[in-house]
Amino acid sequence: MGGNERFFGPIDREADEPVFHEPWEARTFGLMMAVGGILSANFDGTRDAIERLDEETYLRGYYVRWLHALERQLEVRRFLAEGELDARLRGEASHAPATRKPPRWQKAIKTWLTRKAMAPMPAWLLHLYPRAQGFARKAPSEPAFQPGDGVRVLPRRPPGHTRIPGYLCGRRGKVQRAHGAMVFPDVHAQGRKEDPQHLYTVRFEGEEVWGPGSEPGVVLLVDLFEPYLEAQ
Amino acid sequence: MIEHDNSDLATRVEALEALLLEKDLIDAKTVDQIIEHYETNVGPLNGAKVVARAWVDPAYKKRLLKNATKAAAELGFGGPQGEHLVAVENTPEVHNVVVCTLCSCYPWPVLGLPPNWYKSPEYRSRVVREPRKVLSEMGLELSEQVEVRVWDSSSEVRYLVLPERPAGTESLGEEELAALVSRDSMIGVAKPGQGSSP
Repeated sequence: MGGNERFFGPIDREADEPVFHEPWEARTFGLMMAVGGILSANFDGTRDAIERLDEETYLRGYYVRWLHALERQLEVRRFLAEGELDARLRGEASHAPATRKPPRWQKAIKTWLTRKAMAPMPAWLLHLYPRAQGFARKAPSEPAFQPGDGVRVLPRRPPGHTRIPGYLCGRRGKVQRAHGAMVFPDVHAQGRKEDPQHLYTVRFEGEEVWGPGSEPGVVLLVDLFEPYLEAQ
Repeated sequence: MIEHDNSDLATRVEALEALLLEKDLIDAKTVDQIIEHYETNVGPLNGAKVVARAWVDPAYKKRLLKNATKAAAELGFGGPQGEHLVAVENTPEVHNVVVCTLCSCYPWPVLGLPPNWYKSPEYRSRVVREPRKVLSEMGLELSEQVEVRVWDSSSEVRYLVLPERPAGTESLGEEELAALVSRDSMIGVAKPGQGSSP
């Protein structure tokens, strides 16, 4: 979406905006987070499902996207049978499809942990949480780049899920910060493999990205994984 | 496959929840607790406390700029979408603004859930391309001498803007300072004292 003039328009700020506009939005949010905690959702898979929506559905709104992605995740992971929800909505009797269910002990532990994290957390949990639930992983190799190195983003986005903003394809920048290795979304979105890769914050000058028509004194800072970058 | 209408959407979500409960995959109390947590405990007041502390305590500010996840945890804030927090500092020469062009990534533990405009195609498409124009439309005029840094949250790293402490606030205490720190100033589309209050 970044830089795409098709989406340009005025930005409407709502005064005193509520956290949720409709009760179903709150419910969708709560279900997504409950499923995420108790059934270990894969948020890269969720993002991938959102990106696969047709444009019309996508543009209907944030929680419409979430609801769709939640349903897809549940189906892909066989917690719901394909079409089971639609059948229910048509009023058809449940044909008891063979769907998965985690062991009782697993559900109990994860429910407990989720409820701990969904409340003001004690200091020990705040300390533990980013390590237990974060995305940093042991680096599989030495980083290919160091802060200050020149890099160029791949000329095209690879097929499938990726976190390369399209407007950066082929653009040159400078590594500003190395974050160490993190879960690689391109692979993780497909299933369970995490394939950790080094992550860098790369600095791009506005003119490099948008050409001479760029606003003056604009810099873009974007987090990019090592496989997205070539040495420059 | 998904209906537009609010009442259709409500029916669909209700049916989905009923199915998940029948299958004993989740429990309703957990869903209630999650919603309540985000409606009451998690919001921009958390981030405002972090900013105000950084304004009055130089040692805390240093820790915040070094590791914002740990600094936020010191004040009791953390959780989903805040596992890798980074604070970026505004100065007289540099102004920072945050977006997620690919989805709507946002530092929940310190700012709460994102407002609609942050998730809108208009903001996401424009702020990387014409940030000065966007900021000016939103009421923030920046001199051409100020470098505008746009942070596009494309990984699991989440960004919090540390705004400049307004002039003339030397006599204010931490709590009064926190009241000046709006949500929008921590996204980078307003100055403290401007935009929505926490």
